[in-house]
Amino acid sequence: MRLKQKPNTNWRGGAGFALLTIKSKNMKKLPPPDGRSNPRLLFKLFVIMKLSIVLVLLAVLEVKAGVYAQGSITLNMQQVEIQKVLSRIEKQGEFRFLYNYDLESLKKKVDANFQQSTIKDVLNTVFANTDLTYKLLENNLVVVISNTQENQDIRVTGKVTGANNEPLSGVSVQVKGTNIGTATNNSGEYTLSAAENATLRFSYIGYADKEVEVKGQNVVNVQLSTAEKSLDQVVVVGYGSQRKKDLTGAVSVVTAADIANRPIIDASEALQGKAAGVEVTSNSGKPGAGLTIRVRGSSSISAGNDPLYIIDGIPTTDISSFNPNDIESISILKDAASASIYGTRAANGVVVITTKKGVPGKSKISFSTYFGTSSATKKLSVLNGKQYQDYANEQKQSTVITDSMVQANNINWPNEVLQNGAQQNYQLSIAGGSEKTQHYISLNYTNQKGIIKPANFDRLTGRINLTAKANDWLTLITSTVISRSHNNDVTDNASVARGGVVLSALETPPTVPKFNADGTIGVNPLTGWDNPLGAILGSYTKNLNDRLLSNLGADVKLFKGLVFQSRFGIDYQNNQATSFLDPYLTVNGRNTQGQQSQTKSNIFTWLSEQTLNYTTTWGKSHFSVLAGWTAQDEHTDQTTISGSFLDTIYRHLPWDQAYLRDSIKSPASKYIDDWALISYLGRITYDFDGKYLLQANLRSDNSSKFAPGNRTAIFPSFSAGWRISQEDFMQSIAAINDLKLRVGWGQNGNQEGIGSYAYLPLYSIDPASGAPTYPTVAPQSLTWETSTQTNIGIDASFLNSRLIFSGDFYVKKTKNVLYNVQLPSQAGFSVAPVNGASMQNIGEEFLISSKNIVQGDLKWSTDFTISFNQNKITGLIGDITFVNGYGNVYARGNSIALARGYGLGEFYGYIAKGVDPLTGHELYMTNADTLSDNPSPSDRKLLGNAQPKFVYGMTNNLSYKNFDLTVFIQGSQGGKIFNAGRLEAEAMVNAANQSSAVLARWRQKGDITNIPGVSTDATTNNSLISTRFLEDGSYLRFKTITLAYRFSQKLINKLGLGAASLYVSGNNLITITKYKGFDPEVNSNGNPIRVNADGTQSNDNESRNISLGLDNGAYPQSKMFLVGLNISLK
Amino acid sequence: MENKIIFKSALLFSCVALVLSGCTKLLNKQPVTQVVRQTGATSITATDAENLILGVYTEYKGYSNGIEFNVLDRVVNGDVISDNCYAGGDNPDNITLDLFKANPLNGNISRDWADAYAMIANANLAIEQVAACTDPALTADRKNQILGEARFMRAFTYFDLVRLFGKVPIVLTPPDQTNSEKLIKSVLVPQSSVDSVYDAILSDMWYARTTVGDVDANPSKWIVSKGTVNAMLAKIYAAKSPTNWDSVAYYSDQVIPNYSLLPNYNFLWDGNHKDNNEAIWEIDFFGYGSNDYIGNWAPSIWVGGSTGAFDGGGWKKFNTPSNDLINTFIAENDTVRLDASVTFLDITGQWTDAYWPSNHYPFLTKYNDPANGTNDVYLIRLADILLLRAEAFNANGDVTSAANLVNQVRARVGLPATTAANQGDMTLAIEKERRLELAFEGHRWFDLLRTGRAIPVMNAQKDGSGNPLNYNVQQYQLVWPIPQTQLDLNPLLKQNPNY
Repeated sequence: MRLKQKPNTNWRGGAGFALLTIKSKNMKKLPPPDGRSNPRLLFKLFVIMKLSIVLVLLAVLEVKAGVYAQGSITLNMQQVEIQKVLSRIEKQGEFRFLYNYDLESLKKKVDANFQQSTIKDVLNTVFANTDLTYKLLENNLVVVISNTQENQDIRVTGKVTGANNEPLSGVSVQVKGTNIGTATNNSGEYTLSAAENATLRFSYIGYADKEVEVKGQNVVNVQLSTAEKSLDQVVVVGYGSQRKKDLTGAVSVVTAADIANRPIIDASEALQGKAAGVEVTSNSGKPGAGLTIRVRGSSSISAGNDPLYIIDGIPTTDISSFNPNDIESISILKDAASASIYGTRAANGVVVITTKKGVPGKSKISFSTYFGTSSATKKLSVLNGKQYQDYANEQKQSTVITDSMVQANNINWPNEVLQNGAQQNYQLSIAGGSEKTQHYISLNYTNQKGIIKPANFDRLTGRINLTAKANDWLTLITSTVISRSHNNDVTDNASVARGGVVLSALETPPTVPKFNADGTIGVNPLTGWDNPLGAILGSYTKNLNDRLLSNLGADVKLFKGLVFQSRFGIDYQNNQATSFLDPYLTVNGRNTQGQQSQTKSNIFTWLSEQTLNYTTTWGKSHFSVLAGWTAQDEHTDQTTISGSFLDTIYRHLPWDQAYLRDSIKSPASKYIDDWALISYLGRITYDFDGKYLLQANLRSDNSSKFAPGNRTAIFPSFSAGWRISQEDFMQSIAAINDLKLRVGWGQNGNQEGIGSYAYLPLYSIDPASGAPTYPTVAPQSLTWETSTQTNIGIDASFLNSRLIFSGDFYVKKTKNVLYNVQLPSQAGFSVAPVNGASMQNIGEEFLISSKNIVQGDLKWSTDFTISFNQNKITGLIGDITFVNGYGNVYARGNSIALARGYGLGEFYGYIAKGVDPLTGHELYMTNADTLSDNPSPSDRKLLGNAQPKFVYGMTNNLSYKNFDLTVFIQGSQGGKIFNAGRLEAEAMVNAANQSSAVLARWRQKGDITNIPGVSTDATTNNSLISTRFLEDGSYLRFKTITLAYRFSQKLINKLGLGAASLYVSGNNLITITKYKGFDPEVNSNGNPIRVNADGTQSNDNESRNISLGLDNGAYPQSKMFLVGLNISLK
Repeated sequence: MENKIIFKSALLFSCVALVLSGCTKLLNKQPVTQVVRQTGATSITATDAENLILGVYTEYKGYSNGIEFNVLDRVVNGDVISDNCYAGGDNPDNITLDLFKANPLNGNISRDWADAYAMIANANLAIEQVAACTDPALTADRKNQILGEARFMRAFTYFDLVRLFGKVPIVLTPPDQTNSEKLIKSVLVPQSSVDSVYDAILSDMWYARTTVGDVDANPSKWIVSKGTVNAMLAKIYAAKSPTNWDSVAYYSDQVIPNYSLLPNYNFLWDGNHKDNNEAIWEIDFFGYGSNDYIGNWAPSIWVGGSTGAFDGGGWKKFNTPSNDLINTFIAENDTVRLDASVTFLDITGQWTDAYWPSNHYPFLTKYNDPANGTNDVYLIRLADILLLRAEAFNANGDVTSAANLVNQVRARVGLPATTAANQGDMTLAIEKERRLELAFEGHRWFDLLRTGRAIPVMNAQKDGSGNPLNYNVQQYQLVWPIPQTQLDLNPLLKQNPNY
């Protein structure tokens, strides 16, 4: 008999389970675990009995085993059950038996005729021809056991702990291959019945699934480790999931743990620095400004370059409505082999997001919150009143600014404008359920107040995820999220002349008053530009977005191995953009006497996905086949109303009331858009012995966006993996736990951002006259772009999986790139969409994950990712090799060109060569290699690229006892930024205020300086688009530093809580960069939505894709300190 | 068990059936709030044809291109570049144009090229489609009238382009949409000679002359009439080198009898005399709340006002009248036209200016409704044609007849008869008369160009204190540079010399 003695560390009086060291099936006279009598009493009895047995056994072990079986037995019984025989022996008083009631063999009838026989003889005879055996213990205790390995349910208990030995509650414990399961209680303990040879599967959000064989033990204690490192981790892929070790494509995974305790508002922020091959850039620091996400570079010019998001199975291009706290895991399908199952929408990678699900067991109620305060990462210095007076009078060559004007007002506008912001978040969730039905329900409110008023973002989301096992062949699944968000905008990324608040703060003279005597906002009289309060108070833009995303599905087990999955989803969005220009406060407001507009749009998408999945095993070969059909339809209905000429007495009214009083109502306009996609998809996965892995995907898409006859495209992909570590010759190398080589090839399409009717020549209808206007032009042959990608990857883990390495190399070539060719004006159409260009991305990405210290209370782990990508336009349409049509800078022209042989975001302008000491003029390099202060446009050159050479991120987790320290640094290297804000603030061409840098300006002959003199004739030659304003955008940023304290279990118990932790966190605390603007993480054109002059919104993919790295006065990034609390109830 | 399988299979197959029905229909999406434009020889309906010409008119005055090119920049191009105005407020694009420092990246130059060709392209589309219309509901006369109006407007814009830029590309048909390559090829057009551009203009004008309506037959002066076409022909022959004075005389004489000067110069600007007898081609603006919702917003940045009505306050506006112009008005004792064109205000304490004292600062106020957008714009009016006819008389040596016409114009504003007695004096007298009569109507720079006087006049300019302004205008600056963006987009274009 195997007896284990284990230090019973969890012994806590009567509260805990005794860690029994004997198989419970040997216990006699215990009622079955689901006995119908008073369970509490039984439980106590059970414990007591166990205790006594333990004590007995301990006593036994004290003595040397082998001294037993004294006494003789006499019986005379015919055809009675063995059980009765054993009872009779007990009644004779010398022996006692321990056995399990449920053993079938005990019911076998036998004859028992013995005279003064030894116990050995009796039992040997009685147990002959049965599977029963026995062990004789000290004190004439006899344990009867069965030899059979078949389903004999035993009671298994145990405790599940996390990485730091903290008990994990709500962990799903399932008997593998059955429906039997339970969940751990608040102390991390569980109890269930399982066959003694069963395997238990433990799964918990954020942790790696763990499987443990029972091997007849009654106690199975398990420690779970955090998820991402495990090879057995299940990774969600397109239309299914796979074990990480079986993956043949390039997939990055980000889990809930990566998001925890960070003030993330948009889920895509979670990818920054965490997923190799994914570049994430905040467009600006404005609340709700969004991010630019590039998976393995950009592959398109005019179509989208944003990845496709799949949220619980529903594809979407916008995830800003969702609450990141609900996310369980994010898989980024990077290469064609893993993404091509999404065919025509997958060329930019696919981000598959799964939200949390309930697990069987008692409902776990959790609450988390944080509060933070934010301020600008940096402040820029401008001229004060005296310095401005000096400058302005020099520029105007007359006394335009008098001493009395300086005395009257001397305002530091950047300080007026940049204030402290705030952020808060509350999350309440309930997760749990029974074996039949599991639920996850959450409610979240988040609010972010920007550092420049009135920018503000808030969002309320509710989610219900339910799973119901109707019977053994039918499982119903539904997930529903509903959200409402508000976003108050403020104009940034615009020159002061266009009302941009950031440049207005820098360029409004200190002599301009905040308000005039009549209550209007102060104006720079020479330029006619309002002070920044004009942007802050004189107008507003408010967005309201409601979203309902719901998915209903059924999994039907048709017969063994064949599952039919049916999913129906809807995505309903109701957006309202409301803008108001006060008729009194600003110059523009007074000129137009107020402007109001409101655009309401409904977007309804439905999705149907029907798939069949067949899995089978032949010997060591595992097959799985997926076949499916999907259809999707999106309908947009948008209405815009606008009015103007509001009597100033009504200007304080709410928008709707003011609108009714506008004396002019412009005709309402209407816009309807519709597109649909029907697809067939298939996948075959094969592996031999987990050693040789193969996968093939095929997707055929039919899109309404192209002309009939042009609508169908087929996207194939193949991939293979070789787990070298499974080979015999690798078994001797202990240091290598796992080694896998992956190779993949495939094709994907891209149709995002292409208008629904782009292939048709169209007229819009002027809503006032009904006349056709705004014609568009397009070739009938328009089709989608296709990218072909080859990926080679290697996954390895060493030293007991303490060191994990993953590397990928890829080549991605895109042809038929959709390109809205800018036409010369004589075409009459500014652009025409054509399939003309070609593009290439070559890159490498690496992930290294290491558990540096895993000793006792101290644990330290490091994750590092780094991604290199080289993007190049390999061809433009026809003979065009170069188009300088992007990145407009106010009154200077375009700063960015599209050039064959160069990447997107290539800057174009003059090469500045410093200031001429004689004239104070900026000198530029000409084509003739001479210097000129009045260069010809043909002297401009390609100057460098906005795209970084590489981006990286490193997370260090250090934990000691109850403290966790997380330091997350992230950076970008080698990208350039054109600082158009500095261009304006150092231009010295007008009466705008200037940056303090101009104090060093040239003033007289012989001055040696790098800042030119003022331009008295308004020519902009001193501030042309040139290398002078092109800066290194590299940065290294301490993105998050979080110190968390987990309250001790003792205290938590006292408080009646399940778990609690408190943390403080600093975000963007330190940024190391040479960039002179507010922040190097900037993309003025990153916003996916452009608001047109008429209040309507449109996608502006061109700008987003090409005009990278332009800082046109973007809303500054903020640094934030926050305090957070996470608690869960018992 | 078998029942279960049957049930499951039925479920599966019903799903498949659901899936396959209606597949192809789903993909047939057609635009709802836009209309598919007919191309090539496909016939449109008569209603479509009417809508198309309406669209061309809307384009020529509307917010997308028309008002910027035909109103806002017309005054900059005709008056700020010339000696009538300074640039005014702090806008580098305007200021560099005023100071003859503009380069191919200048924003005004770039947008004017783009606006002009956008209007032309819209006309080209209308012309192609209306010409292909076989709907019997469209009578031949009406069809030709529509074509005539559209072709007139196209030619009108080419006339502006050729005078601003010199050699420009001639595009008279919509792009070829068969496929991407053909589309690109069809729009990459090189520049044609100035003569070729004039030939294209004249071809359109001659067609229009026979098909558009009579002067009195049209509902408003905004609709192109035979009078409009003849007036334009007179202007074209005056501008086209070498000047064909006989043609100027001929076409002017076709115009003059059909119109008459308003008795009071102020009636032209008071907003109560729209579509008057003097107007030959007049953009009617009825204000922001009118039927077409197009208000003339340009005056709000010329004269502006902090209270919505004109008071000049708030900030330094654009297009400040020049000392030279004001001095010329004063020297001529031309109070009626000076008062109608310019208002002096005291802006002390608001800003200061290098050209004008704060307590006596001029604003361009021929357009005096910055609030409601109702200021009409005369693209051609009778006084222009009368003075052009006078030039033609004078060119032929008929100084007396020339003087008669000049005096008609002067008499209306209470000025005595001209004292010019010989051909040379008369040439200058007419030039000055045109300058004062047509100030801020976008003519001055083009008059200086066609008479060859631009360089001497501009280089002699002085500021209010009599100091030279040193514009130093060079011959090559008499045409604008081709916008750099266009050169970048169309490799077939060549930059004008010396830029």
